[in-house]
Amino acid sequence: MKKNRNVGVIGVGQSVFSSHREEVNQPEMIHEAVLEALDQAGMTMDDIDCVLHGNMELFEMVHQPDLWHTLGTGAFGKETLRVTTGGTTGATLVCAADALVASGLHDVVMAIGFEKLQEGHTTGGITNMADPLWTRKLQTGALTGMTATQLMDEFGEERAKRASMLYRITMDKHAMNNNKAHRRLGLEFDQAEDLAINSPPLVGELRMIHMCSQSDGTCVMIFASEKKARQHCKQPAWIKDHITVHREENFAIFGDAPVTTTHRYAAEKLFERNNIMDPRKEIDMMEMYDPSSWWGLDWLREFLLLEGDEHLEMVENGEIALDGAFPVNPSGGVIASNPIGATAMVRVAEAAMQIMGTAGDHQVPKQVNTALASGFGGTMWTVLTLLTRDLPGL
Amino acid sequence: MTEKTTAGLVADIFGTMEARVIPDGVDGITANYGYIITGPNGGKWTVCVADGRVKVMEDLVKPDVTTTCAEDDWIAITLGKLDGMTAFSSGKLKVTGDMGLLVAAAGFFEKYQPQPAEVTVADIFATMESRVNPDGVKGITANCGYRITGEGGGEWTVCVAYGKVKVLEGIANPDVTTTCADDDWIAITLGKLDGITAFSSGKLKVEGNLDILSTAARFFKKYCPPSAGPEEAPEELIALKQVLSIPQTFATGPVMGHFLNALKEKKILANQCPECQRLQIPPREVCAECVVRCKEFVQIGPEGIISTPDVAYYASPDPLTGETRETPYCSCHFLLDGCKGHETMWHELKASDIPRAERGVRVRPVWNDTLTGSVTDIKYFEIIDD
Repeated sequence: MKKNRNVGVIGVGQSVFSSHREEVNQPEMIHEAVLEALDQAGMTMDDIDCVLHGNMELFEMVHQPDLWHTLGTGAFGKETLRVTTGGTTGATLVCAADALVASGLHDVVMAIGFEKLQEGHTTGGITNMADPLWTRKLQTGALTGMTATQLMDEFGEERAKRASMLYRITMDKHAMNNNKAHRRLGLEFDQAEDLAINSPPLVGELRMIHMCSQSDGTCVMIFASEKKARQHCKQPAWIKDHITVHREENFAIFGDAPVTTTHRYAAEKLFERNNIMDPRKEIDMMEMYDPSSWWGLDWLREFLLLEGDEHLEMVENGEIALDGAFPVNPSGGVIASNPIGATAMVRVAEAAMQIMGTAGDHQVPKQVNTALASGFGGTMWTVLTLLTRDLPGL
Repeated sequence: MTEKTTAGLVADIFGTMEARVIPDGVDGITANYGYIITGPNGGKWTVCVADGRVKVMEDLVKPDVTTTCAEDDWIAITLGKLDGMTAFSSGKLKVTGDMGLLVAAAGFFEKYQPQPAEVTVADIFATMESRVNPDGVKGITANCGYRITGEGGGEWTVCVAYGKVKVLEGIANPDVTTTCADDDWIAITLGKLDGITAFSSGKLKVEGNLDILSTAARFFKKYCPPSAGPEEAPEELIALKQVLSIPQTFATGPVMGHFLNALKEKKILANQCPECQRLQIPPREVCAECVVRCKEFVQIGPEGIISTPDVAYYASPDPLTGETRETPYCSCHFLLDGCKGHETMWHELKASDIPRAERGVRVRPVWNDTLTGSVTDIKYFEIIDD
């Protein structure tokens, strides 16, 4: 991607993610993360030129939430912009912040993604937002078991189910190291068989244990121009590139012919223009928007351009574990915490933290030079963000 | 909490359920909820809900849904220390039978309050010095005598001076003396009996300077029974409930309109991309792959095969109507005759055909009696029996 100037992530803040944050209202919950991000960047609101704000309005059914939230965001008197692109909102906020700083319009931009799902009705919201002319009546919210069906068809029921549970338990083990994560269940690998049978089915072979949570929470990131970033941060995480790909408003991917997913298409384009020939070797870790452990498993193949059963092997061999060859979601991922308007930003923020070395108990042991983050939403929207430890060339 | 009360806690949780029923919560529900609580102090119980009443029985009696859980986890869930959903997700709490019934069960009972360990008059006086409210004793110099009668009673003098409090046993130069039965004194201290009411009704007698006693109510912070732990100040949190209902009307436009109108004649149409030749169902003004207008329509189906079935066991209530669809239902992608690859149509499979829902099985649409030009003109697809 051609850029006017480099942009670095210099501060990240996250509220505690939980199914219940009734002890705070929306601006108060946002304020927690704003304070943490400012503190990490060593800045005050005086240093911020522009505040970006995003969530899915139809979940809380509040219009102009950015105005109400000014009490918590500190956006009083600042330039502001509101972004709401569904599940990808958080990742699109990152794209917008990057563009605003890279263009030279602003030197320091704070981006805020949040959701307080407890105050609305998530599945109902998703169903009632679907295309009204045909699919709304057929929609099952965000739940589908079709990927499970396809994986079992391709790799056999036993192996597919086992790999999906291994993925799930690995994510829980990661979440146990992240004190911001919502669901930390303390699962053990010997529970895999029991849970695969006894966890209540939601849709097809998508069971409750596989599916992501509904969370309340906020993520805040501070983006700065190269000059400002160097003044305020020893090791910024530089935004190397990002790409957004999406398809039709209806799902057109469930037939019997192979289809190039938006995930694979986005990854191919992104890697091609950044000269990445072998993503598993040249990228050190990934934070993936994994709404369920079926999708997480399946999408590994798409994002890393794998063939055959390589993605299953990565899970079976423990390669995706925190201390594995290619750590995936050291944070615990979306299955652990899912405040939707923040979720996709948390992916980028967590990838940035791994580069900055600020991930604390869930910092991967190896040095992270290049990290990949994915966002997902709607009927296959993909946003990929590539971050680096070294300053990208322009 | 003593060993004895922990041991009896599970039994007490079930034993107090009938007294804790919330009438609105059980209204309209008829079901037997079985509980298998494992561990040395566990047991089996059945909570029978019918006609707005609850009856708790020992052992399992024709349960519609049965919950199995270890005693410690069950106590933690009941006391709000462990989230029920978390316990369920992590496999600590297992459910067999009609799980939908459990959703309602959360609203059946008032919160369980464990029996506090015995409160003694001696403890109330013994903890006074540690409970002094500095603002309340500021500027006051007085000796307050207390004669507490009954088995657990005794005599104490609370000496207040220079912002400090000293509690002595026995009556020593009191400015005012209060006489009261032990049970009443405990009840007043715990806030269960109003002091003025006790005074008015003669339960509490006072000799000496009454004015001092009126300030004594502010001398101490609230007494916490030994088992209750520190009292948390209640936060002023209110949840505002709102229900939205939004009638909506959407314009279809001519392309979708053509497709929907054909349904009225029991015809299923697709439009075709002039470049890649692919069919779009439902039709779209522009091919998403080639980005060219698609003006040609072709008739497809109406019969076809199952491409990808998706059986939903859990239905979320529609927030606009409050209604929940019956489960299981099968959301399904069909490959109708004349279509190939991804040219599938999304609709539903007849519920009674779910056990036979497999790829490649032949299906046909079942039309509604009234055709309005909408997705509901097709009731569902059903499997064609040979």
